[in-house]
This record gives sequence, structure tokens and C-alpha cells, in this order.
Amino acid sequence: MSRQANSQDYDWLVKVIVIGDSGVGKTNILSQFCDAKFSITHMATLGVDFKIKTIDVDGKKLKLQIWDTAGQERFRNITKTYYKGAQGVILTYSVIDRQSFQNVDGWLRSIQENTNSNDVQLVLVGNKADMSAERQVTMEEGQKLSQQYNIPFFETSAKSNMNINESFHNLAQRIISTLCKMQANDDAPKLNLKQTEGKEKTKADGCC
Amino acid sequence: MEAITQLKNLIGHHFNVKNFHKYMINNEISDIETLIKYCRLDNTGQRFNLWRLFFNIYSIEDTIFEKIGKLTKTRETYKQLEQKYQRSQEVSSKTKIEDQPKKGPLGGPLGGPLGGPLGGASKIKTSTQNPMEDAELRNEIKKDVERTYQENQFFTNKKVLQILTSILFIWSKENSEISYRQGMNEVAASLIYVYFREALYKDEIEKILGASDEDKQILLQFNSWEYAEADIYTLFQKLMNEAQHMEMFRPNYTEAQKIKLQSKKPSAILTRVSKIQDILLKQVEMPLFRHLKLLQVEFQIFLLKWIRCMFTRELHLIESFYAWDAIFYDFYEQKTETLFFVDCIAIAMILYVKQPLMEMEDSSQCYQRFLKYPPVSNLPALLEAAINVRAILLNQKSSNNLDDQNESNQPSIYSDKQFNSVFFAQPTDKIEGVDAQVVKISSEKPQFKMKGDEDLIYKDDNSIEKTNQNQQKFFNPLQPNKIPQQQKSQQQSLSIQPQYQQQQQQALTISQTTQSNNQSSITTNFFDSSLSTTNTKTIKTQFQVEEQAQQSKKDKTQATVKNSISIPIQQAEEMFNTLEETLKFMKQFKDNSNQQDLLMKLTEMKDLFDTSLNENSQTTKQQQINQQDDSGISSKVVGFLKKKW
Repeated sequence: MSRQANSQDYDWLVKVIVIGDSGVGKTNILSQFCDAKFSITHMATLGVDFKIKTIDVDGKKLKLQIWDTAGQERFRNITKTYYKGAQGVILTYSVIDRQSFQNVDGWLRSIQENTNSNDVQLVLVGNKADMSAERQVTMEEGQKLSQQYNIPFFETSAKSNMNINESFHNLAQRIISTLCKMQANDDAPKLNLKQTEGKEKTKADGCC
Repeated sequence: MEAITQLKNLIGHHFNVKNFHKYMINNEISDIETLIKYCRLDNTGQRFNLWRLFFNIYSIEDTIFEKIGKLTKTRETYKQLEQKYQRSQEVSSKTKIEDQPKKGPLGGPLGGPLGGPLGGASKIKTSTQNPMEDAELRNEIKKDVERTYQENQFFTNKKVLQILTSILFIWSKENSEISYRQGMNEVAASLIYVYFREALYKDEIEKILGASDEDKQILLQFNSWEYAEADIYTLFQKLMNEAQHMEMFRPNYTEAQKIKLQSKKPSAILTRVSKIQDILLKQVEMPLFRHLKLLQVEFQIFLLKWIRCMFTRELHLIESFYAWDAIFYDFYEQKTETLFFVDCIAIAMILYVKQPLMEMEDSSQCYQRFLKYPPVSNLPALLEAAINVRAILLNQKSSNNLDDQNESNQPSIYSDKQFNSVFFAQPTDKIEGVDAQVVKISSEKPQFKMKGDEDLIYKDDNSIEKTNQNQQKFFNPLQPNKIPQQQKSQQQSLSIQPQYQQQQQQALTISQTTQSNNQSSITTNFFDSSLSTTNTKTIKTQFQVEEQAQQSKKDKTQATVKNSISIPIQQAEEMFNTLEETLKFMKQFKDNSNQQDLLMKLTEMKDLFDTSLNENSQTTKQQQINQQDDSGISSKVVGFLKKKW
């Protein structure tokens, strides 16, 4: 990508991470959202990967830097780097994998431990909702859990592109309003994000 | 049998009887180094057998019968493991390989010394099996096995899936401290693929023309489909345990988890990643190191994947085996403890994308470049670069171990071999064992070092610029065809920076003169901090230059640094403190772009002093050696600093 194209392409640069157990469909959610692609033969993600997508929210161009991670990496090597500077989290489980639903608690704890959770916006996503025959977690259970933690909730299907855009847009909107608040406060020096103002270089984005 | 035929159709038949004779029976492997260099080992049809040799499943001294004896032993060990975990098998053992009665003259007492490479049966203890845990583990493995290279029809085959699952399960049970980790599936899958390309089944062997009955028996014992699972497991186990590749998968446990698991080991992969970033790359390519450091690029983001899977995802799966050839051969030839050549390839790959990286202005752009690595069109050139990287790094190491080497002369492992201090760097006049057809790949053939190729050695300061230009061409992945072909092989090695070239020169010096001439290497190697910093004059000179620079350029420094530095190390500490203060001071002016560069240089210097202070109290011997070369080193330091400032 060229610098010039970057420099005026967006108003905000935001780091979003996708987490959840191995095999719940994180990579497919991402590739559906960013590239409108779905594949049943995705290899397991190793370490991390990321994609970039710019979206419009309330007339503002928001450049999302979305990090995908290996489900197996929880509490492991890469955690700190990965969480650092994240402003949004898509927390994913699979409705056909009960275990992954039960592990949502663990993932939430991991977010608390690794981020300043006040600054981070979350959305809970129950993926693979198209596979009704194999469903192990009901929609009510998902809703109940999300109310318990006060997080917006969507049942999604990366395969049929159901609620994928909605999830990301919901997250993006809340990130923006947080940012606006913070900007109004004017003294949020630790905030890991800068309005770009034509200058593209935001050194602290990404990790560390 | 039908399954076998199907698989055969998918991956073809690559076993080569002639080469089997050459490598396995006659033990003539002198040409494989060249073949590996040119990415031609696949053509031998003996890759799996050679890999077994590289991992010491059998040795080059073994007769064919001794080899078969050792293989038989490993198969027995695997059978025991299989039985041990059979209880927890949830899948019926229909697909399991039947035990073959080992009869005839081959499996018998001819086996020779059978020091079981798997550690023998002692490892097999009564296991405390937890059915729940096992089911969980199986489930976890199954999830990944079912998405391992599924776009490749070979890996959708039931038999392949079963072998992959069994191998991973048994290994994970045997190594429960690490257990199954993602990425292992890909490593094991690669081994399966390589094995099956060269595996023979009975009917096939019968059809081999000109083979005596004894030959056929030997082949059946060596490369039979019957032993696929056991043989692949054995190689996987060797790779993971002996070459310590398993450490790359060790989770970064918390202290509490470590106590629970009775493990004290740190996460080796993070150590390795920071070594690659902060030590190795810095040694090899300072400007890029600096650039990435300033952008705060964290190498673990991409190196985790590169190292664990050994480049299967960055290179095409089949291509990555050529890299593995070199990695495994290096492990074998150099008797390293780990797969060190992986580090060299990683650095070469980072250098390969140097140009785009240098133009990038934030870390996420760099990550994108690394995570979506561009197609490598000229793999031999990449390997060649990695070999050069290795020469530099190895040279660094050998300088550090100077004393040891002087005393013990040569490590005993080399006693009955020709000493070959640098992987592949021992130039050969002719390309042995490569027939004309192979040489014809010249359109992409990289330039290899030849004996007496003095051009490789950096000589002239004026040629630096030219060097850099050539260098950029060489490493521009966007223009792979522009790789210089023949003439001006001069700066084809990695040389980018003056100090880099000097190191390389030294590497060549060492490799050519073996160890008789260590003195000369010291004179050239001023940049090796562990050596040069014990030299008081060096420190003095650097301080003077630094001081001048500070006064002339910035004039901000507090005037605590004294001009007369006849005093050695005791006061260096004081100076070091001053330098640190200066650094702090400078950091306040970070926004100025020139300052950043200065900052970087000062940081380097600080590191240098840091090392010097630590080491000074310990080393006396080296000091004596160094003092003989005082003038040489200090003049170089002055030259270096002048250039920089």
C-alpha cells in the first residue's frame, strides 16, 4: 500500500481484535467481513494475522486494523502484544460448540487482565448460527450471558454472512463515541490512538 | 491396496533405487550438500531416508543391515507406544497397521549395536490415563487435523488423516508438558507427505527390474508402506525432541502453572525471537534493525509462525521442503543443538523484503509485509543468502569462543571428518554430483562462492556505494529477475554495511585458514563488542569521538565528561553514567528527526559500554591478545565513527 493513499484515506485508525476458542470461526468472520470470502478449508491460525478494512460510520472514515489470533494462544506467548492498544474486541464462540461458550468467561478475564477494560468496547458473537442441526447453545443462553456482562450480542454466520457487518458496525460506532468523549476530555495522553489530521504516522498503533 | 494406489496417483512415485544404493548402501553422500544448495534433493528420491540420516536415526558409518536393525528397533518402540495408548483409542483400530513378523536375515542379530535412538523402552512407564483428558486432547487434535491442508487432496485421504492423528496424539501424550500445540499438525503433515512420496509397497518392489531377492528384502525393510506410521513418528519425535523443535511450542506458562507442571523452562520461542531481532539481525543488517526498532515492530508477531512451521506457510509447501533439507542438513553437519539454520533463513527472509520495509512508516505496514510474505521466486538465492548470514553469525560465535578453541583445538565431533567450519561456505571448485541437466537451471541459478573468488571480500571503501546498489537489486523481491547473474559477483553476498562486510571477510578468512590465524580475525573484527571492548584504547577513542560529536553537534551535554581519559575501566563506569544522562536528555528532543538517528547511535554506544563494563572484570586473556592489535582496532573505530558522524 502506498503512503499517499493512506494518508487521507481515513479519519480514525482503530485496532480491533477477534478472540475466542480454536475453531469457532474467527478467521472466517474476518475474511467474510473484509474480503466477502468464506472457506471451509482454513488452516488453523498460527500466532496472529491481521486484515485492514475501512468503513464509514456516521460520515467518518474508520480504518479498522483487525487482528486475528490463534484460539490456542490464550494466556500464552503472544497475549500481551496482541491485546496492547486494542480498542475493540469481537469475542466469539460457536453455537455448535458448548465448550467454546463456557470459555467466554475465561476470555473476558483475559481481556480484563490485559487491557484497560474501560477503554475497550466489546461485542459478543455466537457464530455458526446457520448450522441449526448441530446447535448446542441456544440464542437465549447467549443473550442471557451478554446481558449479564452488559455487552451487545449477535448470533452470526460467517458462511451466510449473517450479522457480520452488523457486529462490526456496532462495535465501530461505540468505539467512535468513546473516542469523541475522550477527545472532548482533551487530556487522555495515554490513549493509544491519534486522530490523523492528514498525518498518517501513528507510531503507537499496532502493538506496544 | 486401493487406498495406496489412490495416494500414489496423488503424489506420484519418487523412490530411486540407484540413489538408494548410493546413499544408503554405499554411504556416498558427498554430493548432497551441492544438491541441497541447488534445491535438488527431491530428485534423489531419497529425501526421507536422508532426513533420517540427518537426525541420526542411523549413522553414515552403519552398514545397510545395521541401519535396518536400528529402524526395526524404532518400529518396535513405536508399537509399544501404540499399545500403551490403545486403551484410549476411541477410533477402532481397523485402519491400524498390522504387525509385520520380522523374519529373514535382516531383522535379526545382524543389527549391530542397537542403541535405541528413541531412548528405548525405559520411557514407557505405566501411564496414568485420564479418559476425559484424552478425549479432550483427541478432540483438539481432530479439529486441526481436519483442517490441515484440506485443499490438497492428499491430506483428505483417510489413511493420511489417521496417521496424522495417531502421531500427534501419541507424541502429545509422551510429552504432556507441552502436549499438542497448533502448528505441530503442519510439521507432522509435511513429514507424512515426504514419506509417502518415496514409500514402496510390495507389488511395486516385485516389479523393480534387476533387483535381486536380497535387494527386494532390503527395500521392504527400509521404505515399506507398512511402516509408514512408525517411521514418520520416529522422525517427528527426533525433530521435536532431539533437535528441540518442541521448545518452540512450549507455552509461556505463568509461574503458578510452572509449579503445577513442575517445569522451570522459559518460553524458548520468545527468547529465540528476541535473539533474532536484537542480536542476529543487528549483527547482519544494522540499518534495517534500527528502522524496525524505531517503528517498534515486534518480531514475535510473525516469527512465531515462521519458526514453528519452518516456513511452510511462507513458501509453498513443496518448496518449503527444500528449506527443510538445508535446515536438517545443517543440524547434521554442524552438530548444533537446535535447528539454527532456521534463524538464518528467517533473517534472510527479512532481508529479502528489506527495500519495501525501509519505506514503511508504521509497524502495521511491516506486519502486513511479513504476514503476507511475497512469493519467493528464487529459493536457491534465498538459501544462499541464509548461508551467508550463517557465515557471519558463526564467525561471531567463533570469535567469542576464541579461548576455548585455542585450548581444545578442534571439537572431537569433527575428528574423523574434514573440518568444515562454515555451512556450505567451504568453496568447491566444481559442482560435484550435479549433472548438466541440473546446472542448466541457470536462469534462476544464484551465484555461489567459488574458491579464490576474492571479489567476495570487501576491500575498497569507495566501492561501498556500488555494493549497496547491487545489494538492493539482489534483495528486491519485486524484481526477482534482476538478480545479477554472473559478472560482478563481487558484492553478491549480503554486504550492505562496512562493518558487515568486514565481518564477512573475516568469516571467509576463518573458513579458509581454519583456525591457525585467529590474530588476523581480531584485527578486522572491531565490531565484536566482546572483544574490542576489553580494549581501553578503544573505549577512550570512542569517548573522545563521541564527546566531540556531542559538543559540535548539540552542545547540550553537561560538561561532565573529562578530556583526559588515560584511566581505564574504573572510570568508564562514571562515563557510562554520563552517557546515560545524556541519553535521557536527548530523549526530550525526540521530535527532531535528526535526533532519532543520534539517539539510536547513542543507544548503541551505551550498549557497548554496558557490555564492556560487565566483561572487563572477567577477561584478561583476551585483553592481552587485543593489545597487540590496539592500533588496528582503534583506527578502525575512529574511521567508523567519523563516517557515521
